Amino acid sequence: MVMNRIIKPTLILAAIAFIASLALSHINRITRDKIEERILQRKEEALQRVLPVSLGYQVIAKDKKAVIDGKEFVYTVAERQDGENKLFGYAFLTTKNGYSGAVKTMVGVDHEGKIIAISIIQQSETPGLGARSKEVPSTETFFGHFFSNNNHVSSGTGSSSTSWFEEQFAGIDTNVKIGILKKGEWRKENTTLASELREKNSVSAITGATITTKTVTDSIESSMRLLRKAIELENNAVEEKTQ
Amino acid sequence: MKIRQIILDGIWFRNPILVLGIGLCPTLAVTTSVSNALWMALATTFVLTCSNILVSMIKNIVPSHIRIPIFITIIASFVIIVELTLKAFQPQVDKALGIYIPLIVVNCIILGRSEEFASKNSIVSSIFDGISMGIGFGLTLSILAFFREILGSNKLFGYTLIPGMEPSLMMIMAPGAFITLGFMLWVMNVIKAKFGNGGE
Repeated sequence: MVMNRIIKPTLILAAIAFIASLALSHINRITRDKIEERILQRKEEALQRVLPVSLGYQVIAKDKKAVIDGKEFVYTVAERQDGENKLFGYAFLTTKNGYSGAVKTMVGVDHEGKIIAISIIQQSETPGLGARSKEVPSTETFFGHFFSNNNHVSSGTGSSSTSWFEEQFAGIDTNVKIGILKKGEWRKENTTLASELREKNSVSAITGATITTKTVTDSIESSMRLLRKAIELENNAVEEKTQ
Repeated sequence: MKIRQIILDGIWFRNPILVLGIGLCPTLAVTTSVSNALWMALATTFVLTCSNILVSMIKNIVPSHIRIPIFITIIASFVIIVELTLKAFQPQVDKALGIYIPLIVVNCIILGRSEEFASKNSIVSSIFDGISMGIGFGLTLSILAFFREILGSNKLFGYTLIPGMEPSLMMIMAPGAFITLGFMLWVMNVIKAKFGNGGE
């Protein structure tokens, strides 16, 4: 009786679970390398977008590591020629949990701490709300194809896969707090909104997804603190060497 | 049961969406473009057929009171296989379908067919049931997506149709899916009324 009602079903369930996990671990082993390759590739593309060659940035030190408060912080250094001077630019990957799962953002800042560009490379936010952080303005996707000679195509760093949410971060000063305004969709053409946001050093939140917006600004702010410390550490080390 | 009848049932007489009314969530969500619909149909058909085969194979050794967790384990395993494979080899598709790939686990068509068909029929019948239900699901999705993509984004397979025409935004959003599905049900019922409901 006990044998039939408890032990047998348990054994069957255990056997099925065992076979299933065996099969899945095998599939995982086959696909893992490929998936990691894709993530690396996406990281590479994001890096090129946030430290664009079109602005003269040349990567000089990739994936530099600094230990701050016992934690490792990884960042990339690039430089560009500005007349006589060499100006540095930095890029780092920052992660924070959003509404559902981690939001990974690649951020590029110039020597003054102003954001050059950001690129969200991984997120699993709600489709239609937080996931709109990756959404490209609809007029561009519909008509960009035909009016590609007109000014519909965004200029500068904005390749077709940069969303309005990412685009509005360009020029934001990370030395002071990044504010969030609920003013609806940011558009390049809407200069009143753009200048108001710039004045208040703010970004416009995605409608219905302030959490996602806040996640991105918070993660940028906390990683900027680490970056400043890392640069300081490096400068100290250089000074010690020269003395 | 004859194979021919099983195939006709899946595609027409017991079409999972239009007749059984199950699996509507992915139907409404991913039919914004034909290619999305086709990938979704392919993924679902794969999971459906494979889980049907396994469920049919083990139907005699599984005690009936633990069958549901076992079915779900089988279905979930196949869904993870599909998800990882798409992530590795079709990242664009994975990006477009997003959360709806893992959600195949809770697609009622798959659990429904395991429970209603595969756990009572032979392996061969179950294979055909999985494939024909998948085709029925895929055809419905494709037709739905065909109209929604043309009217909602003025495109077909990603190519723009009429340059400069403003598409109807409503068609690409949820109401467009409901309305189109309603029209499809209407057409289906008209045809059935004319030619008889020869299934049952």
